[in-house]
Amino acid sequence: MPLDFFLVAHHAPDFDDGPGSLLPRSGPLRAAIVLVGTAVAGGAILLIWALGGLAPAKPPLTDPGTPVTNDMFTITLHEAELVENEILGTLEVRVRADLTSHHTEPFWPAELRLILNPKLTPGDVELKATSAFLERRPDTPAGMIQPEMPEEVVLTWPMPEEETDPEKFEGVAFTIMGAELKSGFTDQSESWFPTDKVIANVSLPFEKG
Amino acid sequence: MSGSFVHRALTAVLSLVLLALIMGAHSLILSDSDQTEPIASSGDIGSTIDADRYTIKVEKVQITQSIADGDDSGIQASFETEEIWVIVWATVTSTSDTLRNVQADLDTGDGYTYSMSKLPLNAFGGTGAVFDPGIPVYGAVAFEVPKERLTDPTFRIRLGKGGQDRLSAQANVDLGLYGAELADMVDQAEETVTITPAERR
Repeated sequence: MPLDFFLVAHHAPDFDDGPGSLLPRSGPLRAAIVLVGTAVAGGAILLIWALGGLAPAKPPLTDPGTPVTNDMFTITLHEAELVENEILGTLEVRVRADLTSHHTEPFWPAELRLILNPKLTPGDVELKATSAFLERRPDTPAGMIQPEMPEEVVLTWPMPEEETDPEKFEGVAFTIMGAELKSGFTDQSESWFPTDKVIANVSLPFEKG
Repeated sequence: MSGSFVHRALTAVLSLVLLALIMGAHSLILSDSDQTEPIASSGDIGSTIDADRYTIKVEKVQITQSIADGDDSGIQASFETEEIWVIVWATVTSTSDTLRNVQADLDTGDGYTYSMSKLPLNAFGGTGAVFDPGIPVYGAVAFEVPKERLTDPTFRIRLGKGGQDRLSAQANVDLGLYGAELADMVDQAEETVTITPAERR
């Protein structure tokens, strides 16, 4: 046994000339290299942070009229208008779209907002309070979106009240996310949440009425 | 020495038992959504189902290619479909409160659920129906569904006082439609059915 051991050891590579010899032998010098290296790496991270971080690769702009599909729906965004609501007398954004749900249960139009992320441009002002109307009965809210029933819809969002100069907006931009069905934090029932994957960016200029 | 060992072992075992009991008790706690789920009663078409806050009897089911939203005085709007309309006609009698909020679903039997159409305003849940205690109200609920999804439909209705359906009373009604009989109904779908306003009987 001892003889075998020595034989094997004799044929093992000699590390003295290996990669380890690239580093200086002296302890203080090694410490200095580690310190400088850490400082450089830290500085680089700080610089990236100060410049706003690394942005995820953005998918290119998708043309209006192109179907976009995730697990929740297929939507084709056609055109946008900024018009006065005849009943409320307030401005609202109206977007004409084809929508087909891929869920097995109906969902409320409000659930679309987190997935579609509508923003007024320029300025990226978030639009909230989503409503939907069917082209077949434009005077009555659509109620819920039914599974696998292609429908021509008009999605509407009120102009945010704090916007004093709505005329400056030129259009509405959508960042359409992937969607997944999961339970909420406090609410056990399942609903749709965005994944962190952007599926498409669609920008609609306001049509001149 | 051995006495303290037994003592410690007992403490450890008791702690574990208590932990297990606490975890067991926790699993018995109802979630928020379970606590406020609609309370369901079940039955078949043609029988009167007691859902506690109301009784319901599904009288008939019609399958049609288009619906008309109107009454004897004229049609106000009509809606064709690429798919199929399922119209459920029922008599609902509230037991003690005035019920205004109606939610209804159709479970197609194929793993898909459709909620009532808001297109016909005369249907339950539209502009009309209010369910006062003791007064039977007869009317329709309309569903628009893809033909191929319809395999063994169950009608589910929830009625409540307010705008939410938390703790509302739900009735599940097996429509008794499947197989060849259902296929015939779909093949020989009526051309149009008029949704008349809910009427007190």
